[in-house]
Amino acid sequence: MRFAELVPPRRTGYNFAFLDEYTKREVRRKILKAVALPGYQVPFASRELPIARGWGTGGLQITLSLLGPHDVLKVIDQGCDGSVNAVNLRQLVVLTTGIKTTFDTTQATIIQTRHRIPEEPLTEKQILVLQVPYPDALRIVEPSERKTRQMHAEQDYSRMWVYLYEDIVRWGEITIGARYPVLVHGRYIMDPSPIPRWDVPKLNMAETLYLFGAGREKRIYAIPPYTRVVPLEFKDHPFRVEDFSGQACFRCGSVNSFLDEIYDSRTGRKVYACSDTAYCDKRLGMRFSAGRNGL
Amino acid sequence: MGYVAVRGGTEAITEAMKMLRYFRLKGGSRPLEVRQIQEQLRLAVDRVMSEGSLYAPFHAALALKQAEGDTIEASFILRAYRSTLPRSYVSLPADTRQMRILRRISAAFKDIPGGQLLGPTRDYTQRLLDFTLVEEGEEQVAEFIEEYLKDLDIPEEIPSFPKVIELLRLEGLLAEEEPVKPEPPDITREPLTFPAPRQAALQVLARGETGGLLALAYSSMKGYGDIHPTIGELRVGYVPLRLKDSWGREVYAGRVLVTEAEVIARLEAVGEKGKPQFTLGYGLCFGHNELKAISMAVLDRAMRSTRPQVPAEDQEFVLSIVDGIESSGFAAHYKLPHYITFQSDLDRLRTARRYKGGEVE
Amino acid sequence: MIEGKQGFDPVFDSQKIFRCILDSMARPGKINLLPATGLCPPGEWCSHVAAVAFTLLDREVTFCVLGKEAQKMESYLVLNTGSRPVKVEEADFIIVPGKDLIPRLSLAKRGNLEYPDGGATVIVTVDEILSDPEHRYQGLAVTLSGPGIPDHCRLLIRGLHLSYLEHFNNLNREYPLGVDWIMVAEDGRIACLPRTTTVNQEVVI
Repeated sequence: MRFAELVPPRRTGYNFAFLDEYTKREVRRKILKAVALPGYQVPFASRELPIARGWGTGGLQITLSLLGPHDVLKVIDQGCDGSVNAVNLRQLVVLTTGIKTTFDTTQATIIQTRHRIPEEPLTEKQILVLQVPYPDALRIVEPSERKTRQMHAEQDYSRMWVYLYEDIVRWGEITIGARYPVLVHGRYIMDPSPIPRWDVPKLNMAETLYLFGAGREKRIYAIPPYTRVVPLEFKDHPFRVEDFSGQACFRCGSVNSFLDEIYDSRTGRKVYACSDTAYCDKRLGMRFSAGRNGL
Repeated sequence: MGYVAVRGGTEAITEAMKMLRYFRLKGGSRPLEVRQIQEQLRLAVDRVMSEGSLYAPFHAALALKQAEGDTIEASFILRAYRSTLPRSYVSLPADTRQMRILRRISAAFKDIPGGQLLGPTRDYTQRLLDFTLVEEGEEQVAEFIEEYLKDLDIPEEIPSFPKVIELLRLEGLLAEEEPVKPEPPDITREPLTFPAPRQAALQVLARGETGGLLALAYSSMKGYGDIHPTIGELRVGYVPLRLKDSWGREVYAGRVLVTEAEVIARLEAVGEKGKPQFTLGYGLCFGHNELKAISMAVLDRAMRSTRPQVPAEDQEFVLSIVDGIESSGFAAHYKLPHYITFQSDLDRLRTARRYKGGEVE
Repeated sequence: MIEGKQGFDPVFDSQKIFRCILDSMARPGKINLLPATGLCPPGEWCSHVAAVAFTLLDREVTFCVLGKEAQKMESYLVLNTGSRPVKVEEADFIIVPGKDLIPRLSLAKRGNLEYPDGGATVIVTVDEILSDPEHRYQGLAVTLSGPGIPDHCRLLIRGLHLSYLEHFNNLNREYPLGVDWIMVAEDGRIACLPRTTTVNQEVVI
């Protein structure tokens, strides 16, 4: 049964998935080009949405252009489904599509995320859509888009390497935390969005398709499955993920997930907990309230 | 320990929305009518239409009511609304020489054909807080309007108002404009790339945030730039809009209130015969907003500088920061949780400290 | 404009078809099956190539149809998508019949270094696309490798003129410049070749 038959447009006042078909078509065309050019930032018009710029409009335009009535959506922010912003985005999607949502990573067909890749490995039946504030990894060395576009065109990444080298000279290591630059398919240096270094290895030769949307900056880019994604490093200073040795999640005991440091609001004590809350709940054997309006 | 932050989100948002409503209404004063805002706060409405990029006075007034007077928030609401609207027609280029003038001045000449018309302006008032506005009764208002209309001296003929810059053009003192494409680019349909054509740049400025535009234009006027503008003409009035219907016939669609500024910059360009000429900066926006139109014109000229030296002359810099919806959205987004990136930074800091201090933490 | 009266739902069919194209473009060589639509394009063009065109084309992009029945298809697409027909060297989308030799395809735009995404998308109709290597003796057998493909994958395409392989390799000789391909078979199967794919013709022993 079609969504249009379930909820006639006149009642909701909006097209299925909010965006008009022109917008969706443009985003879809750009997604295809992004997939054909791994790591390259494709400019797109980027419509305005009832959600503020900087709050996920890029990721949202991609998600809304992908979604069909039978998709199952998961939305997370900092790894958490219950985060206020994730709730807000999920509400907009459900209001304009009526699709099923879930907290269970393995049940989702489309996952929109801000700043984390879920702990459970994603499959070829899934697409991960990442929200991006700064689409260009070279922005830290050059503020002008015109100039960085030229640098990418000519594969002139010398200034980036100098920046990294200077970091090592000063601090003994590359001090970039999240947004760690990677080289994609041996050609483009790419910003993987503010995911922690912990998540960067998941991009390399993955089963799933990764799509990146920057609404305010108006760029879409992609990492197709089975694509080489290599973090920039020097031979004597290899790339390293965050170090959680000696720590475990105080709830589920996990020592293999990215952990948040939390100061308990009552005792003031510092504890560590899985950032991926659905993963943590699963390990504890908790059930999920998925469903049509699982908010 | 009860740390399961998974289901609190929805309730928190609902409560926040209720609290917003409460804060707007708790004073107990009579709820504002949208019409009151539309009529008596017309300059706020004009600003919101201009920055929301949608000529819809009632909707702008409603957005202002919803946003409790926050013009950036109201512009945002209007922009979001705009993006859901179907686009059925594109108007034919509007001719501002056909403007029904409300206000029209020139700083370039003492007197001009058609005359200097002050119109509704505060420019020559003294900024003294007017306490008589506290008690403004409906009777008083009706009386005043009646008297005012009675005393009006309506001329036999409306004078014509030729453009001041045409006078300069006729003498060959104004540089020729570069030819433009008959179908202008649409920055809401195509991504902006740099260097941007002038038509695209003007579109960005036309929907730009007034304060941002003013600050940048001021930087140029103040000395961080080369633009010492003489206002050739500033016009405020109603411009007719025409479009072609499906059968190709020209149809009058209505009129829009706009503010137009034509600013003459110092001599620079060299004309065909090798002689210097003036160049023009142009600004146009919805509604009555003189500071914005003047700022636009100054920036229009500054950005076309052949050798950009200062921020206001850097086209990419200006165009990427003046949109109020983008800047406010991004500034506000720092309030979103960033603890993952912070965690990553903490890790780096601790590692770096180990390197510096030689101690294991 | 298409209003769903032709047996093509502009909202839901577009979405399903797009997801098929995306999956195939992200996984070159993976065959997807397009949903059936009620479209009847003119001449010998199949409903599926029309459906792909309806999904991707509108007045904001340009297109070109090449081959024997180009004119009819062009008018059909102008009427139904609002897209603008232009010369092949300017077209964002190029629709070609795979069984014919089309030398002009070599003029397709490949983008430039600053905007390689300006390269065209070619939609080529073929008779059949198969992944089963057993049926090797009829058709063009190719081995594919590159992003989206774990190790390598093999395809057998029937109804594709040999020159197309040359076109593909030639247009994509200078990554990131290039052209991206969508192959549409009569029965609605599709497979895509983004410019990152290395395509080698298999030698039949």
